[in-house]
Amino acid sequence: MDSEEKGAARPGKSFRLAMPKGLLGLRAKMALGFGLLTALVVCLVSLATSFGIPFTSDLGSYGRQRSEILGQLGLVADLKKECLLLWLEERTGDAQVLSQSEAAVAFVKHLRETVRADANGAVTGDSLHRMLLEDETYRAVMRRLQGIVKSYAVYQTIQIADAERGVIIASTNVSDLGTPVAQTRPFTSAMKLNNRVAIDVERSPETGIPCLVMSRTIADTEIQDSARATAIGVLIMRIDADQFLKPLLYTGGGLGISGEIVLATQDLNILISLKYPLRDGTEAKPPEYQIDTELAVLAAGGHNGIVVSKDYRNERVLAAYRHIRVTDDLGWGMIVKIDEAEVFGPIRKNLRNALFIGFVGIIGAMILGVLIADRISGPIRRLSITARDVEAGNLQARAAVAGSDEVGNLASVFNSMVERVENWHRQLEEQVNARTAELSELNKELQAKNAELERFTYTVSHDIKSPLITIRGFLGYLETDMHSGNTERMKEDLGRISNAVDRIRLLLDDLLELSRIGRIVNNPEEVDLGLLAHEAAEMLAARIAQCGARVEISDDLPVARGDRSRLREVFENLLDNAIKFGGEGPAVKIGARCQGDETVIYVSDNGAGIDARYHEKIFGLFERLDQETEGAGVGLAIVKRIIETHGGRIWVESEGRDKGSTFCFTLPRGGVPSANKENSYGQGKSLDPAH
Amino acid sequence: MDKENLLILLIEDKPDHTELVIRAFQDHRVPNRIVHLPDGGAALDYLFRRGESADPDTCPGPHLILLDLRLPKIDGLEVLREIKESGDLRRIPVVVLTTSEAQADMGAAYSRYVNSYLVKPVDFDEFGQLMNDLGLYWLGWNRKPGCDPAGAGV
Repeated sequence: MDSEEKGAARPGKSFRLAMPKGLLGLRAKMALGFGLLTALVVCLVSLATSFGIPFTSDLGSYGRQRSEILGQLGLVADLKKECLLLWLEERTGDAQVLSQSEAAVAFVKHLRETVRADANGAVTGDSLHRMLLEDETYRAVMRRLQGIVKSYAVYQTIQIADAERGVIIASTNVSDLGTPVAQTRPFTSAMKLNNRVAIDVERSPETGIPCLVMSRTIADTEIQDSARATAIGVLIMRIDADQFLKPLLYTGGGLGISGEIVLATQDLNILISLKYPLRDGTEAKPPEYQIDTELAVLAAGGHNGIVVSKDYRNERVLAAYRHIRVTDDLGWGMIVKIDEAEVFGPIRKNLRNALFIGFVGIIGAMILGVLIADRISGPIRRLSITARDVEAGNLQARAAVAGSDEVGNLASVFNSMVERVENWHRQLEEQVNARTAELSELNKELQAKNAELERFTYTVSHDIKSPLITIRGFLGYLETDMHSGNTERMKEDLGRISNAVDRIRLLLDDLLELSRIGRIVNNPEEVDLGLLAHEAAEMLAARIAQCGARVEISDDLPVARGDRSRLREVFENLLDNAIKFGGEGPAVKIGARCQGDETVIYVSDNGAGIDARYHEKIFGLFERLDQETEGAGVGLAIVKRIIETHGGRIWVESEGRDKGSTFCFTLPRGGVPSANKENSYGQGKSLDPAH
Repeated sequence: MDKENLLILLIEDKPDHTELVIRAFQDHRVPNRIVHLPDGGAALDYLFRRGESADPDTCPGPHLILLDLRLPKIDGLEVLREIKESGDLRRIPVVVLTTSEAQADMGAAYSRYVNSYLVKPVDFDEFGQLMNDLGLYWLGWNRKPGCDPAGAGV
């Protein structure tokens, strides 16, 4: 039995170990699976929208945006290039017209003489101006120059220098007068180019701001053969580069926030100030700062195109670069650029958002996965917990049945299975308990019978031996008396022997009677105990009359179910006892009283009473309290047996010496329980001495 | 031996057996006085000098107690226990004389310090022989405490 239980427990243990592991796995797998799937989808979609689908013409938002922006940049660059060229052409035109005007030529011719004669280089600036103001030609030229400055509002200063000496002889800024300019780039360039307009960039000596300088020689119209010989003066016109080029190149926000147009000379000097500080944080100063980016080099070197590259800040930019041929031997580079960050900013933001949504989606999906797994595995897990509970012996445990799906069905099937097991278990337990109770009842009975049997054999050996000793003893004396002729004593001895023989006979009769109680079965019937008591009294009428006893039978005795003749025997024995021990003028009373929920029938007398010590003893077999009274001491034992085979109890009540005694007994209302009756009668056979 | 002074207390409920014992002692001329008491209660009253037995002159202390076991009212074993628990009475030899051969009775008697356990023989001659030997042994050969050996013969 024990090894079987162990064997059954072993697979249960492995089941217990394996089950939660698998369930956790299911949950984790669900979460991971859902998470990865969502992540994959989100990533693929965002990547496809951003970078295009491979092996197709779809460029993705990145590619589309790039080509779009680059196209726009190209358009802007072309437009601005046109604008710039147009504007430069106008300015070149201005310089040509002014330098070829007769007034200018005449003025230079006239004035270089005057200045040379009067001042001789010693007088400059304001004083020279005041001096020259007296001259009619000077005033006219000055009016003309100032008129141009004022009306065009483009030129910062206009100067005319004497070509021969290299000194400024007329200027809209009078303080320049007399300043030597022979070594300056505009002057030398103009002289070199001769009749063509030189365009240069320089920092304005006065204001320090970068200027676009246009210079052209003023030729003597009378001598036109040799260019060199006829250059009598140089016209120098300065334009504030930032002030005029910047508006020109302004795109009105079309290039976005980071959009910028950078203009650089052939030598890579920047023409206008930059929008942003340089890599090292300093401001680049035009025109000295030489921009060294790939873009600038390309543009200034005469190339056009669009490209994604790095700008002077080392930022990645989308750019269009154009070469601007300003003059035949002079070219500029123009770069129209916009920060890649700005272009792709929204896309990146979108991508970031998409990735964020993807991430949130992963977490959401994982939670969803766990929840779904929980919904699926939860009932299974709970079921396994319940199963473990049941395995541990709690057969009342039931699984919660959630829904009518497969798991729900499993749970309800499991429940009904456990229910059946529990029922079996309960039935088995009940059977075992019933059998155990029966067995212990039988065992108790058997023990009682054993004790009785022991007492019986003891009694037989003692109580029968006693009269035997008497008989043998007095027989011995009879023999001696016979020899000695002591007839007197012989008579007495014979009486003793006779008595002893009677005693043995009585004893045997009682034993027979006692063994009969358990054996003889009369069908149980409804018995009026009052009637029985009267019958018993009638049976003993002779003895009652002899003793002068008074017997009172109350009429409230109940009806019981049992063996009629045996129950009458009970009354007979008790009545007989009461009369026997009733002393002088016995008064016996038979009645009934209620005690708890049972009816107690009593037979009381007014006799000597029984000491409390003997209340148990008197019901024993062959117990006699008094040797003088007749009987073998079986009467009360018989009564007790009858009451007990009927399922009742018997006891004696006595308040002490001379207070009388009351024998009480109960009978169950339903009469003799059939099983008990059978058993008792069956067991009773063991008391049969012949057995 | 001052045999007249020796007293046997016979505690026996059956009159026939009492008669047999007394006759056997007489037949074998065991010189003694026998006091017979029919039940355990009377025996204890006598020994502890209670009630009617209070007078030491009419109820002298016995030299030997013959005790039956199956006694009405107070059982022989109970009488034995009370005797052996009493400081004065426990010196008196107690001989159980019974029909019972039950091991339980024998064990109980010896547990209560009985001095001898004798089973009444059914045979007439054996009964007489036992009574003779009993008287000879306990009242003749057996020495009693507090008795001067020199004075025993006076």
